Parts: sequence; C-alpha cells; structure tokens
Amino acid sequence: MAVPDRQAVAARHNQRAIEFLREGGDSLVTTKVESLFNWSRKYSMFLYPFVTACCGMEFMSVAGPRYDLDRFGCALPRFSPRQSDLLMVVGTITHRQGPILKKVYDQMAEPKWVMAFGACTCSGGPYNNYAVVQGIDTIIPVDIYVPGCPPRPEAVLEGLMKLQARVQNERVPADGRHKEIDELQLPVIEKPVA
Amino acid sequence: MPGKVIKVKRQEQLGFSERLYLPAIVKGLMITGRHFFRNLRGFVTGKNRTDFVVQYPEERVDYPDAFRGMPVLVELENGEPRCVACGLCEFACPTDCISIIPGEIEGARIERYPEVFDIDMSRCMFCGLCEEACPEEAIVMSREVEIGSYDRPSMVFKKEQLLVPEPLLKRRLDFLRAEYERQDEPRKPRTESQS
Amino acid sequence: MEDYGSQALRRLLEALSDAVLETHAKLGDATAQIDASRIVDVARLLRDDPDLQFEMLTDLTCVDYIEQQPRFEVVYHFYSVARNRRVRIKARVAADVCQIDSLIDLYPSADWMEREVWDMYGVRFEGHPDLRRLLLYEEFEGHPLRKDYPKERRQPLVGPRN
Repeated sequence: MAVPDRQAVAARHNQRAIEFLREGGDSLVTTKVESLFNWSRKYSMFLYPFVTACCGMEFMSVAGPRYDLDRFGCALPRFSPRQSDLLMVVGTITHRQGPILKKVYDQMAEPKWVMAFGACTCSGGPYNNYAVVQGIDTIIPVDIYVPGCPPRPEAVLEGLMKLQARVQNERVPADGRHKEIDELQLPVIEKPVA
Repeated sequence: MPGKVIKVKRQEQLGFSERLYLPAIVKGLMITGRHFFRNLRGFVTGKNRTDFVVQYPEERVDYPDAFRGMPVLVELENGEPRCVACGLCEFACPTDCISIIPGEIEGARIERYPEVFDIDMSRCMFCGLCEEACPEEAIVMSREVEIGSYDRPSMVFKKEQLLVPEPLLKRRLDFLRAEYERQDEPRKPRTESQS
Repeated sequence: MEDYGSQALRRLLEALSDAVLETHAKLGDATAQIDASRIVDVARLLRDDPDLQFEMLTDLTCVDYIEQQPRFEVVYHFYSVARNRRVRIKARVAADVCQIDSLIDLYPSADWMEREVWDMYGVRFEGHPDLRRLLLYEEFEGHPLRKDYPKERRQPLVGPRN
C-alpha cells in the first residue's frame, strides 16, 4: 500500500509534457484527438459506488431523479470495478476496510479517477482514532475531494463538474493525469452566500 | 363501516382490441410523448415545466432558514471580523477543526482579534455547535456547501476566505435571533394561556 | 431447566475439583472460574461426559481487566443441544504469559474465534494450527481492543497525512 508521491508524479508528467511540446510533436491533429478523447471520457463516466456508511443516503439522493447524476453522464453504477472509471468512496474507511478499498482501486482499469465523498474519506472526519483511516488519500490517490457531513447533492455535483474539468485538461495517454491545478479551467458557479 | 363501497365491474375477458395490445402501446407512448414534448417546450421557453429535476448549475433549490452550510465569519463594515478570539467555538467543536491564534490591538475599542482563524473544512461536520457557542454572533453557518477541491491543503479555509460581509448573512442572523428569543421566552403556565 | 445449569457445575466440581477455582449460578448464568492451564481438561469433560454433553462452543471471547492481576479473562460459552443448557467458563491469563491452550481439537468452531481473540487482544492459543489475524491485516501493529491501546495510533502501512 505504498502511496505515490503526488507532487513528484505531477512534476514528472509536466516535465514530460514540456519535453513533448519542445520536440514539436504536439500537432493540431493530436491535440484535437486528445480533446475529443477527454470530452468523451468526461461525459461517460461509469461510477463504482464504494458505499460504506451514512453518506450512502446522500449518494442515493444525488443519483436519484431530483438531482440526477445522469445529466452529467455519470449515472450508471457498475458494480464491478473492472467496468468503471470513477471510484466514488462514500463513507468511513476503517483499517479493516482499507485493504479492500486498495484492491478495488487496483482492479479498476485505466483511465480511472477517485472521488472522496464526505468528511470521513477526505480526512477521517470526526473519527480521529486508531480505527479509521485518516483520509483515503493515504491509501489511494484522490482526484477530487467533496467535504461535508454528508455533502449536499449540490456539493457533489459541483465536485463532479470540477472533476470533469480536470479530465478535460488531461493528456492522452491517461498517465498524464496529475496536472497542475492552475492550468485547469474551472467551472464558474454563481453561489449565493446567505 | 366508514366510506362508501363502490363495486367495480372487472372485465375478465379481453376484447379484440386489447388482445392486439397495439392500441395500449400507442396510448402509453402518447402519454410519455406528451410529457416529453411538454417538458421539452418548457426547457426551450422556460414555462410550464412539469418535471421533478433540479437543473443544478443553472437553478437550485432554496434551502430552509435552518439550513447549516459551512461556517463563516461575520465581517463588519470596516472589513474586520466581529470575532474577539475568545476560543469558545474552538472548545465547542467536536472535531477540533477550528484553530485560532488571538492577537491584541492596543487602545482599540475591541482589543482582541483573531490573528489566525482556520477551519479545516475536510473535518468540519457542519453541526453548528460553534455558532451556538459564540457569544458575539461572529461565526455563523452560511448557505455555502460547494467546497470541493483537488487537494487537502486548500480545504483548510483561512480567515480571509471565511470573512463574509454582514448584509449577506442577514437571513441566517435574523433566524438565529428569532430562535434565541423563542428559547429565552419564559414558558407560560397552562392556566394563563387558557384564560 | 429449573436448576439453571448448577447441576452441570456440580458435576464439574465433582470431576475436576482441583481445576475449578470458583463457581456461581444465579438467574441462569452458570459460570465457573477455572485454572487456565486446565482448560482442555475442562472442555473435554464438558463435551464427553454423558451427564453434561456440551457439544457446542457457541462463543469465545476475551475481556481486558487492565487494573487487575492476571489481566485477561478468556470467556467460553458452551451449549448443550441435547439438554438445552448453557455454561460459561472463564479463565484468567496473565499479561506476561498471555497464552492459553487451544480448543480446536475438541471444538472446530474455536478456529476463527481464537483467531479473533488473538487479533484483538493478543492472547496466544497454544496448539492452534493457523493463528493469523482474522479481521485486520497482517501488518497492523498492536492489538486494538486492549485497554491500553493508544486512541490516536497511526499504522505504518497507511501513508502520512498531507
């Protein structure tokens, strides 16, 4: 269960991308193909819900007809990790559950993304003790964090849109996934504060 | 027996048109199609939509007054937080996600202010105990929930990110004051209210 | 039925009076505190004696009395299907030894329960053929249900917080 150093990975991929550009290999055709690939990937995510706790209720609310994940092309849960692109880790991950989560993540085929859904998966949440993994990013790499206890459906949908923005900015092949965040074009959502 | 019993005559033998099944299929398709085209016209014109879906980024549901989003700091007109860094919210927080370092201004009307006020949103569970503990109405729960991020450090909100001008929080503050008033009100004895 | 299992305790005291330290049977909880080194003898008697016939080991667990000496108490629940009777056997294990004989030869159901007790309390079962952790993974450090296990302990295989 070694954790890849994400900063080092990101730096390596950026370096590779820069070298690729310097060599002049980035023609109009390849960038167009890239964006087409990414566009089709971001709107056809098959998700694997790894539901372990109470956040699952909120996941049902998001997946249900009121908020409807299907509008983002992300509706069809595949209950096999091999057929899915997006691992939604929903709920507390204990040390007992940790190896299972790791195995599920390893079984998924590239390209794959991980969403940490809820406070427990982001950082351990209220459970600061020996039994709970303090954030799933200590076990597997996470692409998008959605904090909240549990998060509102709006928060999940916004997180999904941010993830789609990340997917759109990826390089093909999909190992160039850890791009710097400054380069991403984030979705703009008007937020009323009060 | 309450109500009225209505005897329904059930057709046990299928007629010719029912045995064909085609009219029923057409009928069902007509109903589906009617809803589909009505909602399609509703999307285009923006009127008379009958579907249930909240088209999220464009529209959103209105949360009730008691809704608790992420906690924010009330910003006064001079751009300073109302907080006096007493540390009661830090103490009340069940997840230890608030960290305050107090500072002092010599000679000001309110001497204490928070030099650092961080809330780790990845741990916060939006329980509202900090808001309840605050004697100054300086930390309130906003209606802001969309705080997804790409990495953990950006989920720790600094003081500058947490400050929200007071007029924007009017709805929550009004709700809180009404709620405290209701709680403080002495409960009337039963005989008094009856008379 | 009306003797609440005290009959079984009487039989146990008759046969193995040197192994039994203390008994009580009140409101159906027939319990015998025994010497931990004689647990196999007691279990064999409970299973094979025609008057007892406790052919089922329903539960095996452990309690950590951290302030007492000896510290751990392994608790066995036996059930007699033939006579519809239950009896509870308790054996104290000292913290420095932390070892007791396995019942796996007499009761195959003890296999996973002993592994769980080893996993959570660190009590070794002598004679168990495959004493691995049952619930947690092999690299987990410590036995988490011990009362002195630190509350905010972190595990070596899980990466650092960022």
